Amino acid sequence: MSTPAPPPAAVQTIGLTRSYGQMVALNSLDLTVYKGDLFGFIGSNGAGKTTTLRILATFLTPTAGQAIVLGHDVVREADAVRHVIGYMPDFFGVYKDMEVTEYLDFFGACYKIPTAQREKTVNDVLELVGLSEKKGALIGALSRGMQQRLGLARVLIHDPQVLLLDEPASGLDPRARIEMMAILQELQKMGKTIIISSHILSELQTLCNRVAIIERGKLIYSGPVQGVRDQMATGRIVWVRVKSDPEKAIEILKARAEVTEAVTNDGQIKVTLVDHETDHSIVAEALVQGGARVLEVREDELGLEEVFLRVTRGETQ
Amino acid sequence: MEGELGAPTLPMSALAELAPSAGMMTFLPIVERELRVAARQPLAFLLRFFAALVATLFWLTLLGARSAVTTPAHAGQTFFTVASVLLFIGCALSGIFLTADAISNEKREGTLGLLFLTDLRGYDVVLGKLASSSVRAAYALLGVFPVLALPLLLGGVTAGQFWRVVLTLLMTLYLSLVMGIAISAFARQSRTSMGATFLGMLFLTAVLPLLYYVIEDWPGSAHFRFLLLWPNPGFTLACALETPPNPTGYWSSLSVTVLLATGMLLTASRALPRVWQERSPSVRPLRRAQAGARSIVNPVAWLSIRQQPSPGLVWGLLGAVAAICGAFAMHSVLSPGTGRWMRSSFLLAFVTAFGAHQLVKYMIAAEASRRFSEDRASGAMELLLVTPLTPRQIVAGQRQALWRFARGPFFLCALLNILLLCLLILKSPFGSASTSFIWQVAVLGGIILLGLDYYALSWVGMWHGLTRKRHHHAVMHTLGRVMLPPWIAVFVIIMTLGMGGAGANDLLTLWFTVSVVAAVMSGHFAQSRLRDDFRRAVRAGVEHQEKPWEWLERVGKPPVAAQEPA
Repeated sequence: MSTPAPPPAAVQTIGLTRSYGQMVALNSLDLTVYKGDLFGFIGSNGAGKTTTLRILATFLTPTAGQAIVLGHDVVREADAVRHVIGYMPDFFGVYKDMEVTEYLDFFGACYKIPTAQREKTVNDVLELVGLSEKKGALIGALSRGMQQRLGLARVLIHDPQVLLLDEPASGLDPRARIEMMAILQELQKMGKTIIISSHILSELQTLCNRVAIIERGKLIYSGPVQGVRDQMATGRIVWVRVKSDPEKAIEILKARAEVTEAVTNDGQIKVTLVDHETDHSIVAEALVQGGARVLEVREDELGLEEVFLRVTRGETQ
Repeated sequence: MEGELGAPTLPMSALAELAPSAGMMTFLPIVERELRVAARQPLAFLLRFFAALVATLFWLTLLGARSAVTTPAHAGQTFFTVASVLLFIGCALSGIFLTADAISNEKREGTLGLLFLTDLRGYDVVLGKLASSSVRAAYALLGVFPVLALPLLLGGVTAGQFWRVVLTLLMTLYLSLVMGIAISAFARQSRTSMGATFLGMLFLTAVLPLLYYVIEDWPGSAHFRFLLLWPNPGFTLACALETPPNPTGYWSSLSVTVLLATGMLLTASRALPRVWQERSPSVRPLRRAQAGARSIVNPVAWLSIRQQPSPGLVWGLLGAVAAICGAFAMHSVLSPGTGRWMRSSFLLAFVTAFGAHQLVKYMIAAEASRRFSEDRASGAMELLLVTPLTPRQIVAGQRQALWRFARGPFFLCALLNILLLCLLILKSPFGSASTSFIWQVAVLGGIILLGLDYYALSWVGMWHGLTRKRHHHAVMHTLGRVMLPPWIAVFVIIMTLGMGGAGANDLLTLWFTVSVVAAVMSGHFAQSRLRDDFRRAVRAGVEHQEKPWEWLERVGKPPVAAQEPA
């Protein structure tokens, strides 16, 4: 059975490099984001995430390499790219003394949406982001979460195919974050390609289908979320509780070739298997065969945060 | 026993060593911090060096050019007088550009509240901002004083004159900076703060003497008219330069100036903790754009028009100036013959019209740079640049909005000049045909320069709005590039040839020519930079910006950054 062909690429960078004076912010970045992806962009502060998004948004030009968005080169065909992307930076950039509808109307005009169509478009995007009740409100009087939603509404005003969102959930309370993530999932269902940079990795883990990790401007990983665990995690960890005599249980486990380490930890036994392929059922099987009374066997689900901490050293430019 | 619990302990001797500095830290901590920061900035030293260098060059030029035709003492006296007047103008204007937006900027950025969450008092903040904003100007002024003292060696100036002028300049700087900071404590927008400081200094140095002049002949005014001169630092300078000395006038004026400035400082310090908070609702809605603005095709034009100053304020101010000008002109017309009043009234009408022109030019410079300056600072410009709007369209929108704002004041100023021209033709207040002709040329030239300066100020203002960190820096650089060159040229000629060396005709021709050249060149330069480098200028805000002295560090090193397309 052949593997299904991947969808066409929405965003592709080839050897993308960007220097600021002596400092290299992006170092030959090769990245592919497929159409319909909800793509998580992960990295420490100063790793090069914002620079990448700014280049894709045509605000910055690369020092070397190429970036292509829906078939358009971001340098040579910048105008075409601007029509198909929606860019939300990590700051608000709002006119605080404007009303919500005026703000969106203004950007609608910037995107050359005809006046007759603009009012309906504004209403539609406000409804999509849940801001319909704040139409007449002044932007400066909105909460941070509301302003973030307004930023998202601005991004959507011209119905772009690719959304570039730089830290869209930063500074939001848990409810606002969850609501923001729900909106993003809804947008993905509508067929949008979304690239989202965030520090809240637990949310990216559940939200995104693919992620990329960069550090010091270099790509460390790019692929499915599950793949990052498999590829980056060194060994599977299983937690075991036995009714009595944990020392004996440890001896039994250490005797198995599939186990690299077994130690007691807070009344439980932490068992590290030799690799990620090893089936964790061998732990229960060995203990039962050895005569230990097993109360619980639980595999440690390695989160994206742990993987990120393992594969990066937190180095910034 | 705290030590046994593992709490960190410090020996008493160490505490005793810390105590004096800790005590010092509690007095004016922001002033101390700001002065430390300023002392580490190379620009403060560079500015002092260059101020002294420029003054020395002027001194040498004058000495070289004038020593053959006049006595060294007279040359020294000329240098001292002209340099004092120029430094006085610089000191009087410093508040507009250095302190007028110091506190209002913090209000807009929301950082002022953080300071008041601590134990800091109003005077801590006010004095701290005053120290940080004024230290460069004070350094530059101090750097010039030794050069200003050189005429003492030639015998043209007495020690008393020198010290009186030094004191006057320091007090004028103090007054101007304090006025800026005091107005900034109450204002929120940079243009309001800068405009009010400009008007405040104009009131003291121009309106009060004008009133004095008007009531000079009134019977009984001798008992009180001096009150109009005392708060004027220009009068203090005049008394300082006077020979024989006028100690009563000098010290009275100086005392009143210092009291006035200190009063403003105390008022600002007391009021700031109460006025820094935003009123409810937290953000005031802007006035709606004028009817028809929605139909404007260019969204940037719509945005700019929406945030322009209230027409009531602009027309109220200009209307008042125009009314004064008109009243003097009318008085000149109604005065019989060619007496003193007829000529004086015409001169006052001319000076008022000239003031109106300068006010309008300041407004144009401020408005041309404001939108871009604010948008770059807030990041909104980055959002605009990722839309399909081209830099050309953004600039066109801003120019459209600027013309909509400036066209009324522009035509009003032109109208005032036409009024003066009619007066010159019909009444000929100066009698002689040749003198009258010079005035007619000057008035006509004013109209032409108004147009050229509008062209230059609009382009240069937009460019500096895009490239300068703060709005008031943008305004200062814009006015400096467009308006300053002709005055420098006239100054250099007077310095080298002496007051009698160049006739009024020649000076007027020179002033006009240099004005035209400066306006055309600076306007054209800014226009081409906006056309070619708009995106690069905005990107500079998020990239490393090289300081003027950093090129020294790169000498001998290979370049790293690649060239970008525009």
